Amino acid sequence: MAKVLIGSPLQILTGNVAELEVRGATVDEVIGELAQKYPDLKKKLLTPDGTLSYSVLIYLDSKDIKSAGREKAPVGESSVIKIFPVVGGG
Amino acid sequence: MKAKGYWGRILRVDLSRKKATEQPLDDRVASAFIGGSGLGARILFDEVPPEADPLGPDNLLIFAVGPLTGTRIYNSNRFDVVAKSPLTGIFAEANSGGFWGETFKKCGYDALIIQGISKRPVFLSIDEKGTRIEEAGELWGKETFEVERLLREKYGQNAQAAVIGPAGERMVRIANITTDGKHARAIGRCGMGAVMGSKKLKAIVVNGNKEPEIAYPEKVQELMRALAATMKEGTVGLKQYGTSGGMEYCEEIGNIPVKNWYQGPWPEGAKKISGRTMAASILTNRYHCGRCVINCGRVVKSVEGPYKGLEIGGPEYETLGLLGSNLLIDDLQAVATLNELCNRYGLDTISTGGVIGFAMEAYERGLVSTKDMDGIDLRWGNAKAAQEMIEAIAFRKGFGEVLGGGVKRAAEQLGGVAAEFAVHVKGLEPPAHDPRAKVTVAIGFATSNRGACHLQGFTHDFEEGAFIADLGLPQLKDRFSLEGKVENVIRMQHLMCMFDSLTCCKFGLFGGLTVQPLTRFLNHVTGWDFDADRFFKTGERMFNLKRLYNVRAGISRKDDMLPPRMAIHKRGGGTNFLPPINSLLNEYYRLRGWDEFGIPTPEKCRELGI
Repeated sequence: MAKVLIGSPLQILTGNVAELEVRGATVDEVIGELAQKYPDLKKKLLTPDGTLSYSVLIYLDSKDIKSAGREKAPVGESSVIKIFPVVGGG
Repeated sequence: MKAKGYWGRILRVDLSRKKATEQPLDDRVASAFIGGSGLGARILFDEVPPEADPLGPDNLLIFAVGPLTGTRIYNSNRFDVVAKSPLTGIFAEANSGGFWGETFKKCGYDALIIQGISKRPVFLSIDEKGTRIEEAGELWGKETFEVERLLREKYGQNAQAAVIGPAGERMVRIANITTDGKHARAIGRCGMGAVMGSKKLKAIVVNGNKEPEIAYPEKVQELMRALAATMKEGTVGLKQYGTSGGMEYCEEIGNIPVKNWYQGPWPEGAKKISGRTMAASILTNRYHCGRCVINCGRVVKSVEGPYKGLEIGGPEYETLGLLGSNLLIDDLQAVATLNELCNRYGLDTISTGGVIGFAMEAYERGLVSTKDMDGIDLRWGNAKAAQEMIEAIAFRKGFGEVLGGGVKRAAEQLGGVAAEFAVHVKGLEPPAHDPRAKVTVAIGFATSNRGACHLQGFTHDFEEGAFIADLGLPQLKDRFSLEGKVENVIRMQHLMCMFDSLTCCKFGLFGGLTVQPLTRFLNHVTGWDFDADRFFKTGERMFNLKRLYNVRAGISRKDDMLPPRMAIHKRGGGTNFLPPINSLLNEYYRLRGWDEFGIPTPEKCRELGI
């Protein structure tokens, strides 16, 4: 079980839920569970082939899991996963 | 009565007469056009006739800030520059961050209007005590960073300088104005550097410390405290990876330009030049603009090329798109070098990448030869050749003279099939967002008042997923669906007019600086009583005024078109989507209250008070 925080621009995809507890032993399990719970959010989280999309930034305890290659990192009771949309350009 | 947050004073400098004067800012104009972009548009509309030569004495170069500038409100210290563009011949604005806007406001002015042409190269020095027109002397001819360093040496570290480089001096039509020295921020688009160069104005040094009065400072503080956490958390990706944190995603959905917008997938290349790769390899530091908690600016270590051993500016997303993927250059260090050259010479990286991409395709198709380009071998991916061409553009040498006029002019000179791959809207080269990947981007590029632009609508990050809850419209869920898109773009264009007039950074949207907080900040600072309707109506007034300026300059439906590469040619190997721009324009004009040719109706003008 991990605490998951949803960035405000994405909260419409979770029915305005900003924070929730999600089951899963690893980051990708938590994300899979989250995707199942919120189908609209799933489109942001996962590519059509089921891999983690680059359209969001996912942090496990303040570390970007994509850069650190930690998609399968273990998640503990005190873990915090934060999800934000990426910004493309400016 | 003068509203709080304003000084109620505009500084006017006539370089032909060597004279600086002050004029009052009418409170009714301030409340109707706010500041920055809106105020600049009002002045341009009133004073610069559509037939004025953009590089002649009748064009104005207008620097304007807003009522929030100079306060401590998050992301509020940008500034806007307005003129008639020498690149497009129509309304032009460019908006920049850094520290110049705040320091200018603290000199005691809401706007600076520069008119006329100096006989000799000069620079302006503005502080709380007055304005001086100084001989530029040896500053003329120098690169931007060097000029900024010398001026800060002379005027002190609090001073901020907006400067042009060799490209602006030579009136290259894609020249920019830069501030903040090596932590460069650019008034990049539409050739503002050429306008400044035409006036023989090398730099504008500002050095003020006065803080404008605020109507309700406690309420401002309270709202800032309420936003503190989301401002930091919602923008964490921008801090960590800069504006190119989304590079891989943009490639994934076919948003980045590849090979002059011709090619589709380029996943390995995008990874090599992404914000993540930069953070893991050459990034050495980050920097921020005034009153910003984001730190999206990048500093990188140069390990090869002309700046080897130096710390140089890290390219941001648009630059990586246009000078990287668009030219098939997948070497991050090489793109950083091209970015540094543009910054030092004072060239807009977006237009420069656009026009070099055009030239590379012309070369590949045999329209130009190596001989035409003085031996520069403009093959795709040749970073050294791109470097040589940037120098040729900046100094107007050889084929650089042609390319410095922008893609539209270059295509007209080459003739024939060149128009098929000349990628511009209304003469402005697009930033790194493909209208074939997102419907709102297509509508935004076609209708933006300055030509192809992602910032005048800023919809690209909000078309799928991300959402602005107080925009007053439903969420968009499918980037290829047409449903709700036109209405969304129009609403966002009004919101962006307000951002650019309040001179706030649009990245604040990711941290919660959305419609309601912005409206409340405006009210708390000025003492006014804006609600959401008046907020959006004010944005609409600005947008229509800019359109009317363009209509006077000959713009109509025929110009609200996307280039063949974005509306007719399918993206190679990527999606098959082509935006149906004609039907989208029909709906756009109808919802705007414009006629079928894209002209605002008299009823609409009356409704908006213009």
